[in-house]
Amino acid sequence: MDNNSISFKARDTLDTRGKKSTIYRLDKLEENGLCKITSLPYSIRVLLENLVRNTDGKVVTEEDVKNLAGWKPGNVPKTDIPYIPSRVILQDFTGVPAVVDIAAMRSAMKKLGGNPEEINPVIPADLIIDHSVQVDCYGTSYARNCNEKHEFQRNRERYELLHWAQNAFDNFNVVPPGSGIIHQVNLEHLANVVHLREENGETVAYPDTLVGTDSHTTMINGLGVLGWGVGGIEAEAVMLGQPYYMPIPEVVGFELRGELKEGITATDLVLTVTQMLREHGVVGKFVEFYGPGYRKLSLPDRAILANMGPEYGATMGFCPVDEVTLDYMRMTGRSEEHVNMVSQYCKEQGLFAERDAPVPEYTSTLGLDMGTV
Amino acid sequence: MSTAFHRTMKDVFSLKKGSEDFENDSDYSRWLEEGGYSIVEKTHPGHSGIRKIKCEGEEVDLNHGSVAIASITSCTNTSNPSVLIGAGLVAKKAVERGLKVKPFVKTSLGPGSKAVMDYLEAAGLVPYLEALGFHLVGYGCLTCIGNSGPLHKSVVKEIEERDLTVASVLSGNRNFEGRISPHVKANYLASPMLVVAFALAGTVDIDLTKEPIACDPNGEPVYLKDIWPANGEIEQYCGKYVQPEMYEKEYANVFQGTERWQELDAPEGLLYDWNNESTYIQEPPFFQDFPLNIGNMEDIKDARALVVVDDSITTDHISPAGSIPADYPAGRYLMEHGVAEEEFNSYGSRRGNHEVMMRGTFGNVRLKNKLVPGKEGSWTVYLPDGEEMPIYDAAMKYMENDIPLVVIAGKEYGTGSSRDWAAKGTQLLGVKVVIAQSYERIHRSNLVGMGVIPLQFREGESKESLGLKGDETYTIKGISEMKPGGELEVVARNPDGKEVTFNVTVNLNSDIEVDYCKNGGILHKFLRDKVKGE
Repeated sequence: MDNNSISFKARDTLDTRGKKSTIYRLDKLEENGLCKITSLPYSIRVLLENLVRNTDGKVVTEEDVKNLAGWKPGNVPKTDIPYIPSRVILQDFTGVPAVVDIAAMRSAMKKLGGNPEEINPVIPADLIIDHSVQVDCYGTSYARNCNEKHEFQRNRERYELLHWAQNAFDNFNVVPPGSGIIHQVNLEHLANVVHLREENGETVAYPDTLVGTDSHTTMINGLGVLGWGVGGIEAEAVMLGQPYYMPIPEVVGFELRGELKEGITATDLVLTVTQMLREHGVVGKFVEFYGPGYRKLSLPDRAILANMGPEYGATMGFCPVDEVTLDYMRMTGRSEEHVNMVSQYCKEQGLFAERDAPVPEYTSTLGLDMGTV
Repeated sequence: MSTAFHRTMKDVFSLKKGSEDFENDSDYSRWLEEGGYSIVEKTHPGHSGIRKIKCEGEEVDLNHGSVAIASITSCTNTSNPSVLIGAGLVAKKAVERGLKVKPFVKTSLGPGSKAVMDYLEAAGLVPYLEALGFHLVGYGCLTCIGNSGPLHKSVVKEIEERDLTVASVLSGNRNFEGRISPHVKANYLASPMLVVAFALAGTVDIDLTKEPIACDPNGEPVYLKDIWPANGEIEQYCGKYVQPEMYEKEYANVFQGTERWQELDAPEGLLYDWNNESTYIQEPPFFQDFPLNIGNMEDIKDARALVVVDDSITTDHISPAGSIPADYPAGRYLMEHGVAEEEFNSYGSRRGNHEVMMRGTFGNVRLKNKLVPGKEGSWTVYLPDGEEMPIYDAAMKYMENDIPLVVIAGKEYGTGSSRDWAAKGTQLLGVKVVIAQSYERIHRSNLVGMGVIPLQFREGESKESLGLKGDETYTIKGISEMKPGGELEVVARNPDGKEVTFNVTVNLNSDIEVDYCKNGGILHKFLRDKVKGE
């Protein structure tokens, strides 16, 4: 597919220490006079890259790119855009029905004379089994073993289905029970922040984006990854390669200044921020954090701010990538090579929140001196 | 230092208050109970007033405000090394002072990542947590989503006999009544560090900033400040013990799972080998009798209302996630299939079996269907002859007689948790359209995804303003030509033969959505396109 001609000549090569990959450059849009990248919120830049890269003239058109590139604080275009997340995450309560549906489609495909192998997730999906374990035993060193034993007894049939799916589907991974909670596994391991994926015989670099079938999917915004919770049927459609149609969002900027006083926890901060955002009204909007206080906020603290997105009503609470993000990736065992690639990609694409970068233009802004919390 | 715990104390209660506000908010409540447990009607905890701890003598007995559950749980907090190390340090200092957790407290530590146990272990804090009963109970959502498991029998007996309002204190993110445990009415959110402190105190009816948590074996009072670590101490521990190698090790084989997982006798092959005997997993009927070519949609003639409801019907009304009543259709089905009542599990865990889920649709025991005034639960009237019966039974009878169905609703239809079975179940009961005053965004989208057309009363109109009772027959015209945002004509004819004609808006956003409806749903369209090689 030669989409170079139709996506504003954005296609180019990224050279990361001798490794070459394809990149869709946002600055080409600026060269084409479509927008000023540094004025756009970081979250909108990520969405814009998504559209540019996926422009095929059919599902995603140049018109879609132009619409989004025309994002202005006072004038958010009132059209839907076809967002194509790079992956999907599911937990087992919502994941079982999704797997049942896809398995049923395979059976139906066979009955209808088609090839069942064609029914597969197109967009990679991870299903993390975390919702079924109960506290049957506690206060003893065999508690975990006892609880897992009961868990497997109660859920054997569901787990056999998921175990089947793990082997039967392409682009589908199961994180088995007893491994952790979906959002934590995502934050600590699954999220790449920037992907390097083999696609159509070439390596392509692009931002990690996702939808998930759990409300607190937004926790991953703490790591600068675009993502939020959607309904089960919507997630299935995305897995099967349908775009997720969404209105172009307004973006509320939230400036954090100062520092938390000794003894004040991130929980205090989140409460204050939540209250302010709820008063402001952020339903259906993105929230994006910035400012000198933001830059000092640890990643776990950012993850709590992002996790509580549904509590303040926003689609996302986005925390752009910066040094803190990279440090956390190192701390959680991501390879130095990968972290360097993330750093370079984000810097070249204007997705890295540099200390001296101009503040993007937001639909509206709020500010908080953390010292007053 | 005093501000530290004063502030954190305030958290516990301001979080509680905050969540009460959230509870009444539809945007927030969209995501309620995704763990699968129902909200219990709101009741206010009746605290007994301040009770002092006796420094000498016997242990505190169970009372109003006693902490029945203290749990370090949830994605919100357990990815944060500083608060978990902090909890370990609180435990260490408490154990060093000889403090114990009250015997009625169900204590648990359920981290969201295995790396947590690695660094707690490396820091030597596990033995202290275990000395207070905070043993590892597993890795998962656990108590946070209501999987708190049974309380001790004697504790339950005491709570029930004395009608006690006991509390849970957990490091979760939501605290709706009844979410955590059916026996625990008051739920408090706190940091993992305070979870340990409240387990020691054994009651939430205490001001930890002023009152002692407990007394040490020498009879000396111990205050929160005596066991609260300094920020510097926590940071030092984090710097020293939280290491990248721990994450590398734990995630190296994250898709392999435990022995139990590997030893599962799971089927293999391209196609799933459906087991007719399973009460958890059944092949859904969405793609049975699946014509490849579909004609235009037809008008709906002489449809009947299956359910007529007022404002703010939640997806939990439409598709409850919690317990399955034995005398309801889903319960009857399970019994007929040899499942004992204790093994029913929840609707949420049986979402892989449409037979259970269809029977549970509109199955909430608190549903108020206007067709059966004054009655709560999954009941309706089979209109042609006025016989009262469970909603599922009526739907099946309508289906046998080829009578299409509609749902009539008020504002914010489908608010609450994003639950796809609310749309799937609606479709499987034979409901063709919903006519509501307004919709919650995701439920509307799910209805479209299942081919059920969301129609909307015109601005200012409602079932009341149009005088609709629900006992009318409904004929909806112009469906084959419907456009996103366009209008359709509805003729409602009441039992006396009187007709009311009104227009409704087609609440579809795009031509693609019209196409989904035409195909009977988004998956249906996808499958058709695939078979045809499009």
